[in-house]
Parts: sequence; structure tokens; C-alpha cells
Amino acid sequence: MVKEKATDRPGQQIPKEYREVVEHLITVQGWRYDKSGQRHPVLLPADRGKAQLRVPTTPTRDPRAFKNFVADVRRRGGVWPPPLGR
Amino acid sequence: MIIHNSWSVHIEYAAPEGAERLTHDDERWDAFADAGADYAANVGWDASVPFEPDRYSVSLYVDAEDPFEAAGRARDIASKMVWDAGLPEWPAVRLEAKTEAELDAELAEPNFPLLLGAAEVAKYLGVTRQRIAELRKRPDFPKPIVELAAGPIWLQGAVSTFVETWDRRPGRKPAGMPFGFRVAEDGQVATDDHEQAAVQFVGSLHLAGASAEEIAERLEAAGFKPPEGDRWDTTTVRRIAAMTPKPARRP
Repeated sequence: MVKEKATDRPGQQIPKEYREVVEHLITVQGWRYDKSGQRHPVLLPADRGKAQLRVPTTPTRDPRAFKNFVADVRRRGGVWPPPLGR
Repeated sequence: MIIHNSWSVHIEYAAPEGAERLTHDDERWDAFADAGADYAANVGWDASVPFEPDRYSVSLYVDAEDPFEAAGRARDIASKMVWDAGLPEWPAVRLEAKTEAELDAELAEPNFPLLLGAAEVAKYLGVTRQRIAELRKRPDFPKPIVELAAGPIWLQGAVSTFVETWDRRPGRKPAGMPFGFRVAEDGQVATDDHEQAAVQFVGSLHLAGASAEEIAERLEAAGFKPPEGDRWDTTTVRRIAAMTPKPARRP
């Protein structure tokens, strides 16, 4: 059986505000992050039936782009913002 | 008056039967993402381009008067992006348009249901965990959304709904609550008028020199309800009498 490789970790290649979301998705929600061999890193939802999501590598000039990114994460079953503890 | 809003439009395209298949590492995906960046300055663009091999989608902002106009503009921009990237033109299968304000409000709401374990439900209802086990026998008490090895988990919304219709009746006093006091509905300690009257009744008879047996009989005759059971016993009477301040000694 071929095992999937461990997830990559987001670094400086993606903007900080996106990195915060990606970190949470891969450490808490079982998403995977793949930055190998492509210019644009890819997020793979925990639900493998859901579409992959490209992560921008440069800060976008339009701050609304981040909102669309979060909306896309939520469409794929990702939880954001993180739920508060008790 | 025409008011132009900023609309967030999400379009998904799916490969029809027999269409060219794409691989996830196809270079055209990068070109597709880059084509989106070109429009950021004009209409507001989400540089993230979600995809899967037989489906691609795009989320972008356009200024328009209504969702129909927004959808048309977004379709034109997305078609140009697909063309520029050299992607196959697949039919759109899903379209979502919402104002920026609507999207902001949606994103401000957590998309994770608030969950409560038995301890949290007990705290929420102001009862003990043992009481939760009893409440679960009621047909109107919500069923847990899942039973884990660690215990049941409820949706907070379900518990809130139960609270709204819960015909709560005062049960036994919590341990340590002295006779004459009770826990009010808001969880605060309050005086119990009936029990306070009984305490005064016991106190006055005790100071008058009545025995515990006599006081117990007088309490029952007067219709005071004992803390437990149907009858006043001398132990309870003595305990309440001990709460009564002793008269000052005469010099």
C-alpha cells in the first residue's frame, strides 16, 4: 500500500494571512498542503472528494481576495474562523 | 437611482462526457490563476483558483447593479480567463452571487456547530451531571448528535431549544444549601419565604423553652412542610433551633 507523503508546511511563499488559515487547516482539520513541483501551492481538503484549492503566492492587491479564499475553504468543508474553546 | 454593489461571484464548470481530461499538475492551471491576477485591479479578483481534474471554478468580484448583471459580468471575465489560459471551455454547472456585505456577514459567522459534552450541558442547565442522565430519559430532551467513547455530544442549539420549553420544577436542594434558602432560577441564592417562616416559628418556640418534640408537633399542626419527607423529626428541629440566636444573658 502506497502511503501519502506527509503534508508540507506553509512558509514564506504564501502571504501571512493565508498562512494562518492554512496552518490551522493542516494541523487541526486534517487538510494537506502540497507545494512540491508547482509554482502555486495546493491545499487538499480532508474530504478527498472535494476539489483542491490553489493558494496565492503573492500578496493580493485587493483585500477582498482573501475573503473569497476563506469562502472557498468553507465550501470545501473547512472550518474558519476556528471555534472558540469553552 | 442605480446603486452598484460589489458582488462576489463563484462559478463552477464541469467536464461534459467525453471531454478532454486534465491532470492536477497541468501547467494551464497556473496560467488560469495568473489570468485572474490580471483582473484584480479592475474588478477585484480572488487569486486563488480552486480546481479538480474534471471541474474548475473561479471566485471573483464584480461591480454590478444586481446579481443577474453580476453573473453576466463574471461569466465574461471567467470566459476570458479560460481562453487566455488555454483551458477547455466546459459548461458552467453552478453559480453563486452575493453582495460583499452578505459575504462579510457570512464569514463573520462560525461555520462550526457549537458542541456541548455532558459537563457543559450540566453547567448550561445549572444541574449536576447525574441530573443530565435523568433528563435524557425525557422524550423532549434532545438526542446527542454523536455518542463517543468519552460520552455524548449535543449541539448547543438543540439544548437551547430544550431550555425554552423546559417546564423546570424545583427539585431537591443542592447539597450544602441551608434550610430557609433556595437556588433561584438565575442560579443565585435566595431566601425561601415558607422555610424562613418555619425557622422563625421554631426559633420563637425554642426560646420560649419548648422541647424538640413539642416544636415538631406544632410545626405539623401549623402546616409547615419539612425539608425532607412528610413529617418533622426532632433532629431537624434541633438543627434549625441551633440556628436561632440565643438571647443575651441577664446581668
